[in-house]
Amino acid sequence: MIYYRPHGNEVEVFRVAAARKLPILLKGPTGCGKTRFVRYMAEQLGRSLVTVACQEDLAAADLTGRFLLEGGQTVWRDGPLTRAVRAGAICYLDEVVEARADVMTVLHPLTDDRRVLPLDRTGEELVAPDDFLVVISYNPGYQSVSKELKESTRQRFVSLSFDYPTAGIEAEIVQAESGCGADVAQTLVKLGQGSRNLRAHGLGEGASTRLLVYAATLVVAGLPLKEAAEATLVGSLTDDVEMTKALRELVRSVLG
Amino acid sequence: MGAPTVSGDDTLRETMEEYGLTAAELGLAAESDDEAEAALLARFLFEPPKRQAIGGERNGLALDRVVKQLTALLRMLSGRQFTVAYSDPPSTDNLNIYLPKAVPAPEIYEQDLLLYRAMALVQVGFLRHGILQDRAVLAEIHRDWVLRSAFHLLAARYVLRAWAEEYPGLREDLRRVAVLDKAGAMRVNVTAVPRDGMPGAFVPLYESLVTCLNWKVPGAEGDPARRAIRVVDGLPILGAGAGGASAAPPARLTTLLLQEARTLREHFHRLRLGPPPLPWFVGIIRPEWILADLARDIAYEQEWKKGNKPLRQLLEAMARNPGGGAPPPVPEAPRVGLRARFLARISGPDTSKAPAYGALRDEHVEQARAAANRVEDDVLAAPPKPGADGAREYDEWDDAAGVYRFAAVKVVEIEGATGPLGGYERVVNANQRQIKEIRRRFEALRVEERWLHGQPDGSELDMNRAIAALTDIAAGHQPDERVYKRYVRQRQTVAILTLVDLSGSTQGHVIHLEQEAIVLFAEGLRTLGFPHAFYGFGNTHPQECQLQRIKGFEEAYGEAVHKRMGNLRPNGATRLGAYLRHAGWLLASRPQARRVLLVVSDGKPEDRGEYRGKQGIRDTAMAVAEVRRLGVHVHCISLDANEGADAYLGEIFGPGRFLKLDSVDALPTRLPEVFRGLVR
Repeated sequence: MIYYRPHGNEVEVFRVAAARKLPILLKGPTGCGKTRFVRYMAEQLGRSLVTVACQEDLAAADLTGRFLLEGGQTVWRDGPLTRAVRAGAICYLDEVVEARADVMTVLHPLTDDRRVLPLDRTGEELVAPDDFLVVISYNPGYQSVSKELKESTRQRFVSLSFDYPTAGIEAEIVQAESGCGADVAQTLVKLGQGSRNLRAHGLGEGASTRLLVYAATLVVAGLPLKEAAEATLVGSLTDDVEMTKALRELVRSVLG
Repeated sequence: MGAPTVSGDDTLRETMEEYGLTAAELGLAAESDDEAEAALLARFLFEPPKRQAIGGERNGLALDRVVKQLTALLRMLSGRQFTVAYSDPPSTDNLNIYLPKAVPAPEIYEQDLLLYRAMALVQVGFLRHGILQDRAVLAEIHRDWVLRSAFHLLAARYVLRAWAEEYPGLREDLRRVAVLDKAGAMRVNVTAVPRDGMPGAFVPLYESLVTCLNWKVPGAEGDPARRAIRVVDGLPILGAGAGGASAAPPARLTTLLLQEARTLREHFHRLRLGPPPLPWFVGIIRPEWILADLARDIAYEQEWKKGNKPLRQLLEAMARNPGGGAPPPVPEAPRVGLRARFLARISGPDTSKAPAYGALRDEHVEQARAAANRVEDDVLAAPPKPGADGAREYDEWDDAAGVYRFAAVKVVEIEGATGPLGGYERVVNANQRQIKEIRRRFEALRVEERWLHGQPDGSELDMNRAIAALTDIAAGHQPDERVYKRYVRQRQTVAILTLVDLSGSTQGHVIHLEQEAIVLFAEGLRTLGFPHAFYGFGNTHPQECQLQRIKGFEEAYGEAVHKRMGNLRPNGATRLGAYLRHAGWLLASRPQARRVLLVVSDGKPEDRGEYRGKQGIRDTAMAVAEVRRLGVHVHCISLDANEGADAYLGEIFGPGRFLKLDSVDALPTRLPEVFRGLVR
């Protein structure tokens, strides 16, 4: 059973969109629970999930599939997207803006009313079953000229915006994920929220919920809270000397 | 300090002497106590605020060395975005905080840093709890130094208790600060006063702030102060959520503090005591800074955000024609019509063939509506040609009619204002450390190192693609020959044009910071070697917008450019749409694959006439869309701190395409950072 703590109407919107076969776009900062949410929803809907972590070398062929040599024979091997279409699964493309531009092109006929996947190499045109669903995610905080989702693409999706949960919910998540005590969870959340006050003001991003869970996990494993915080909430957030000092001071101020 | 039981002039004299003041200066000849007290206080009350470093050759830790760390920490703790600037004693103007350039010698790093932290905690605490937001309170304490000091001490006690309760580490810090000699130096305004002569009536106010072994234990004269402290200590600490996300302070907080301060003032007056001195680290409250800022804001609103200024125009025109002769010429207004537009496209503006200007007529509207879709691509196909005067004409979106007005506005490029070289040099000399850091960061953008897969030639075989090619061959397909990969250190190609708001509203602080920002940014870009340009905008005529060239793309850095950079001059209004369209074309003509247009502005796009409100916003939004269709990435850094700014900035630039700075002081550092984020 996958743990996910809803903090808005995201479950309901996802459920309705999936029922209506509408593709979904998840926007939100690093480590706020986008991937966990998709896994949770796949489980809730009883559908399989194919996840692709996009990177700059990911091309359309990597998604659709390719011929391979096997014992002197050429054999077609489906890529993850094709597998998801055939199986009627949810295909989740994480950080889709990192992928090459042709990836979005191959998604287009799957994200409108056609719901088809043409495979030039095999001469097939797969019609997606009703359970097939495309979900993509990206982090709009990265406002890079070269890493943007085109508006024409964005408008093909139902959007769900994520942010870090409120303190109470986040502490609940940290506690549930790591098994730590309420005090530790609340202290870590306080640190996390403090660091997020520097988002775009010295730090690219503040501490993610995931990072807080890591810190709590270290504490549960026996590491003192201060050391766990140092290893996760200081070292992982910045290499800048002054920012590191400031984060250390934050830890000291909060922990005493 | 004299014993409070002694009455009359002796006490007054004693008091003054203990504050380090001479009787002559303070007018002991005053006829009444009130007059004498006014003389005593005049020196404190009417002295202009000093926002400068403390003097002396030998200092302790300098703020520059720790300001980044300190600012980051306080922002994290408080959840507020503010800037730290210089002032001694420490203070705040309700937006930013001011700390001394250095603490007194000798330098003991840990202690000095602790002291800076404590000073900042007091000032940020004032911001966070809204201590200085009530104008009525500020006005009341402004001219009454005893009241102001009493209020300050109680408020400091409250905010420090709030920090200590929320953060155990800070509680320990504040305990250590209380016994620091430097922290406990006493001052009345900027004048140092002895620490160990503290009247018993004051002593309870200091117990948690600073300590001194020589203070006597107060008797009944200390009761009112004890009582006030008990009241303050009993106030709930509200609005300090986890991580510093503060909610609104209790509405009655400042009123309660003021009430207690009033009681103390009466008590001190009865004892013929002056203002209680303040420990150095708690700084000083400067109501005049905040009240003056508000007054300036109001004046600004009236000047630039309202109306057409017709009266002023009329008066100016009458001044030019004192004899009451012919009326001043009506400015030439834009021509309307497709024909004029196309003629201009082919041969430059030809006024003889253009229809006379008038209000939009129905047939023009119909004509334009019918042609709108057809013309749109055409409009984007080529830049408008310059007329004989070098001006280019641009269409403007008429939001009410829902059409473009053709050739509605002219943009003419002129050379930016120039002046002494000192302005540029001052910025460079004062920011050596920052420039070094910006250069270091920009250096990382210069080269992009990565593997390029699927290349026709390269140092290594790209196994995935080689296998794919082999299988294609075996399957009877035409293989892709791009089966190599190579490692490249590729220089990114980004052209960047920065459009800086030089409209009248930037007069003063903003223009200086814009100047500093572009100098720092330019230093970074020079390191990088990216083609770049800086232009300034601010039009004095509705239909003719002058775009000041501070540095053109093809211009090398030299004395002329440096002089322009160091001498920005504000003037006119913000007809932003026209400037954006022109800048878009300047960028579109660059050969670089990636082009970035950065707009720095301090308010809504507004000009005289109808170009305000919705019209200004919608035309600018259309201009942004046009420029984006030219393949230019447009991003805005707004200095408009108003709450409503997010709405119009979002409408113009789109979500995530603008950055609203909470503090204009952050511009010099944020401008290069924004660019770095855009092209990384």
